Amino acid sequence: MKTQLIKTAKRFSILLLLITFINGCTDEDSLLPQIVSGFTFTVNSDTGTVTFINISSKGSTYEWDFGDGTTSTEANPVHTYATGDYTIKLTASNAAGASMIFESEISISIPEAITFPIAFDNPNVGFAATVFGGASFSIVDNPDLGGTNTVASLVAAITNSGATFEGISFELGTQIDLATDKTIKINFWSDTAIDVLLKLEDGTGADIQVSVSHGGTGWEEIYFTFTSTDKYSKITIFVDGPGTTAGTFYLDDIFQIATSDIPCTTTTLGLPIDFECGGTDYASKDSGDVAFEVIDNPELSGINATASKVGKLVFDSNQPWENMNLTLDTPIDFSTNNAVKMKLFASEARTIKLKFEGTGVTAAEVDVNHTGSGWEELTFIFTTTDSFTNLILFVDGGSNTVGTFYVDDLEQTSGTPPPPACTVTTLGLPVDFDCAGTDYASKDTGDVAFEVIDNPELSGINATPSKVAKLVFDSNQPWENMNLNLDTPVDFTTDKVIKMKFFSSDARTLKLKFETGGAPVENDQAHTGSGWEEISFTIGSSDSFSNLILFVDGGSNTVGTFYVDDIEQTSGVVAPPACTDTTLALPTDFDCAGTDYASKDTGDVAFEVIDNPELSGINATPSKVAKLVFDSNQPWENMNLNLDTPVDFTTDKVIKMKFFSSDARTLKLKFETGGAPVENDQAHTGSGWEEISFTIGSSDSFSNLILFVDGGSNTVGTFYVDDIEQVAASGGGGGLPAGSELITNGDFETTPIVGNGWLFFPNGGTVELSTAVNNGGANAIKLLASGSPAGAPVLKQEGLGVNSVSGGNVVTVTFDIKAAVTQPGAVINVALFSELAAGATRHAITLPATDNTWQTVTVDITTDGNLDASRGLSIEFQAACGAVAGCNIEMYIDNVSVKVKP
Amino acid sequence: MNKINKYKMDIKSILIKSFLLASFFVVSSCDTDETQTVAEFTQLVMADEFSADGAPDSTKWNYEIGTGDNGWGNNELQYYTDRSENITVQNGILIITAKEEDFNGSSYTSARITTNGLFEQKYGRFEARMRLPSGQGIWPAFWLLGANCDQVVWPQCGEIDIMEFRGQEPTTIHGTVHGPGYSAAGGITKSYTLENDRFDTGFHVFGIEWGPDYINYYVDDVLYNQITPADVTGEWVFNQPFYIIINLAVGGSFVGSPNSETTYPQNLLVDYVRVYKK
Repeated sequence: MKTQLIKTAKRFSILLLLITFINGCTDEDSLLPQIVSGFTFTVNSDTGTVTFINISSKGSTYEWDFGDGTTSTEANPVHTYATGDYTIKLTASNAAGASMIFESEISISIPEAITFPIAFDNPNVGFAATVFGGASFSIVDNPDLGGTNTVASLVAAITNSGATFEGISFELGTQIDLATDKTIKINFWSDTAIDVLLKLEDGTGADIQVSVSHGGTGWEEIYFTFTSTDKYSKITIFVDGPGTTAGTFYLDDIFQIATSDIPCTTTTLGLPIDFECGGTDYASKDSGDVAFEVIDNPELSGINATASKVGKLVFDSNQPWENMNLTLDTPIDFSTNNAVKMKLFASEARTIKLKFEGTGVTAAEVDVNHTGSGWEELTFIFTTTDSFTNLILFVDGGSNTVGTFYVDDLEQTSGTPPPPACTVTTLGLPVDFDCAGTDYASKDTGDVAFEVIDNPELSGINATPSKVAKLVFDSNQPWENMNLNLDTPVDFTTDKVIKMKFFSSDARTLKLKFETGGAPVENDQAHTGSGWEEISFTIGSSDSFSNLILFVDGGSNTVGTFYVDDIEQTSGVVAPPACTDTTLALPTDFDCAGTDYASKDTGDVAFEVIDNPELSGINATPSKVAKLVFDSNQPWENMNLNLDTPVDFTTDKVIKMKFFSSDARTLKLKFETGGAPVENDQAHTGSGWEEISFTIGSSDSFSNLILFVDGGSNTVGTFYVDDIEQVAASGGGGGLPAGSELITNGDFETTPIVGNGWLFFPNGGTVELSTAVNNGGANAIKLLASGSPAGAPVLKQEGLGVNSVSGGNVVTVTFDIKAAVTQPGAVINVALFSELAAGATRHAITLPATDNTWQTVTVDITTDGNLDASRGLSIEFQAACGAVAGCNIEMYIDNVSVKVKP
Repeated sequence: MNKINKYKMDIKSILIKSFLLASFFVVSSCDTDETQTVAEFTQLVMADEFSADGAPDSTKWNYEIGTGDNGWGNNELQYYTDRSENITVQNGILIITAKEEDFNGSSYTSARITTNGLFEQKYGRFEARMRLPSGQGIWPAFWLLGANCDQVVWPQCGEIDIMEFRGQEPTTIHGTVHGPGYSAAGGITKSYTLENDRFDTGFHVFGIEWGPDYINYYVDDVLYNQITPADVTGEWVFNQPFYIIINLAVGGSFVGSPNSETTYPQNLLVDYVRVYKK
């Protein structure tokens, strides 16, 4: 039907031609113009965008009915459809009112993105996996109905070639969000036992991966549980990740589920017990005489407010000593951890007895009181070190107990005993007022009200709960004081400084005086009134004293309440204040004792902060450094520092660090979590400690600083990092301009060139590394179009300034070129491309006449206003020879730079 | 609907005959200065009306992919593909689309199809009805190459350019032959310019009538050139079978590079390709 319509239109065109000829030849004008309506079109099947090409003739106005309720009067409209079938009508009209309608049908099928759950059965989804490392991928009918996949449907087949780390990946249309549900379930088929590695990438956090074993019994459901709360756009599956198993595997039904929904298949009972395992018949494990049943927690409150299963115990007082008696298939062993804790629900006060029995051992039992407040966590600390097979719970012992109780989350724990109490009764420095054996008040003979209390001002340098001395000055008289009688005199022969923590909320002058012993001596120090402050008094004496006397504002009639703590004697040398900062931010030198650097690293290299073992060059002073051990367990190993204070690239765009390596390496510094991820590569020459400056093409803030060594190579080696800091621009030399360098490896000194920033397209000619001819450093690139056919070789770099260059930016392109050209037909093409959402805009760069010497070309280019920032810019160098024999181009390129103009 | 179609179908056969007759009539009645014999070739031997949507008919056409040697010998800038975004058939029209994009080291993509190995013929009427694209650096062509070009080096194998077009000159096409001693810039050529019309706004028929010792060049009903052995400055290599090529190039030595005024995509529309013999 459609074909006939089209052919009809064609005939009409011919008829018109005929009429035109006749008119032209006869100069008659008796025939009215005949309208022919017609169109063809092209379809972007990814987007449903249809570009209509109007091939009507003699029409002056057009009306389009797109068949989806919309219309247009443009001659050549562009229209975007949703998936579906449409009939399009074009009415072409002329001024005289004549018109003709042409209609055509179109079927649009926009491929849907891959989103969870993935069952491979939706015909509208393009399940095009990216394969790597030798693996191949296809969609096939389920070849083995059985196991956990008995449904005849489409499944995915992965065929391993037998290489390490081969696999497939999918880009997800909607990110998988691990905020709540952290488990990915896959129905996976293998006929040999094998490990499956699932990796999530391109996320708001660092890449994460989990490996799970498959039993090799055909279809099995396997579960990958993550701890991250981030979102990820890419899912990658390695079958036998580091191994070399070849063969075909199938997968189906990839679901995201709550971790708690992983079916439990365990049939045996052992601690911990949460009553959640569907495979365990808890009731059959109970041989006690209460009514025992596993039910949904009917009392969602307090410490057990999340819906889950609990054990229900109904005591009916048929007899005394009713109990729950669980037989443990896995005995509980108290040799190390000697306590058991559980949640127990009771609505009135009860005494709970937990008893353990076993064969050949003495039973152990402990009573703990429940206050009846609902769910309470009870901890039973035992003194036994034996193993037991029966866990027995009594409520109110031998009483004829009646009531319903719930138990949950029984687990073994360490029953750490309380620290031994302090029994010292005498007073001597240091004094922290925490010794329960010391009657501090009796040691004070001063006239202020003195009392030892719990620190009421937990803040600043004294934020940990402990005892402090409270001093109340009431101004009954001048020179009120605290006067401590030291049982052990303080001796100033050597150490002449007394430190104490003192709390005041207004500025005061403190006087510390020592009496009874040598000639009385005193020292004044100011308190700024900022709360807890550490005050150091220097005592100008070498004698010993038994009375420590503290005045506040001397002879003034002082009124106020103050607190004192941690009075101690130290050397006169004032130690530098220890770093107490627990957070990580740039700059970092790994020297802060308060910062647990290892806990900030979530990368997969072995990370450790150590004393710098390589004191040399620019890092010759002893200090701490980060040690990174790359062991090649996987590609793209990295250090991933989680910055508590994000680094902000609004102004300063360079990150400097000291890096130690004894062989040449390429370092990639990447920032994630915050703005769009951004990275920069820099070379390390292998000379030991070097200062490396990375230019970051972003104006965003980031919380993750990630360092790769030799990128995706399976890097092995030990490296050290120190002094990571943010600066305005890279230092050294004469000071480079502040513009960001967008080119990677612009001097071609990092090899291999392909893989380190650049692409080669020989196109019949030659593109290769040149060491013989270069313009600085050791390398340049040679492009040769010679002989017949001569070819048109291309050197290219893509993805410049991704997510940092914007449309309308002015960039400065600079490169060195040396070209020997034999005409005719020789053309050198150099161009920068602004990559657009679809297509690109080519900015041709005009070259000077070539003379076979090194020439530096610099040109400013304004990027296309429609630049797609996620694709950035590309630069391309081409030596092209024409058809005429004798054409020859030998050309070298070096020192390529593309910078956003400051 | 059925009724309308039937009505249109009825006209069909009449129109085809009318067209052939019209050619006689027009030429003989208008071009009083020309006395050549025309329209000798009336037996249709090969035609593609592009009536099946999708990829071109693989029994009639094959693709040439890539950048050839040196941009197909002409420093052309495009990369030829067989992707549907570069070549497709829709509503009875073959659409070859030139796009500006970054592809395998080239700045543009397009398509080129040939009948090499599928159809070749010595002599006849070769014609195509096309609507051309336009703009600086856009170079569509409908041309023939000697079937022995695989064995005999060009230009000895011969080339007959039925239609070449510079997008920046939208009213003019060029018809050319290349052979030994008259190739590349030395080809024997003549241009034809439309009066008060352009090649990018409507369909036109581009054709040759080719017999022993002559090639007549036509646009629509107009015979605008005849080339005979007397016109060429070397051996006449046009007494052997040739095959057909249709392509849309971007840039290259014939047309020059595109500039910032050139827009994309550019579409070459082909309504039909027909070959007749006596």
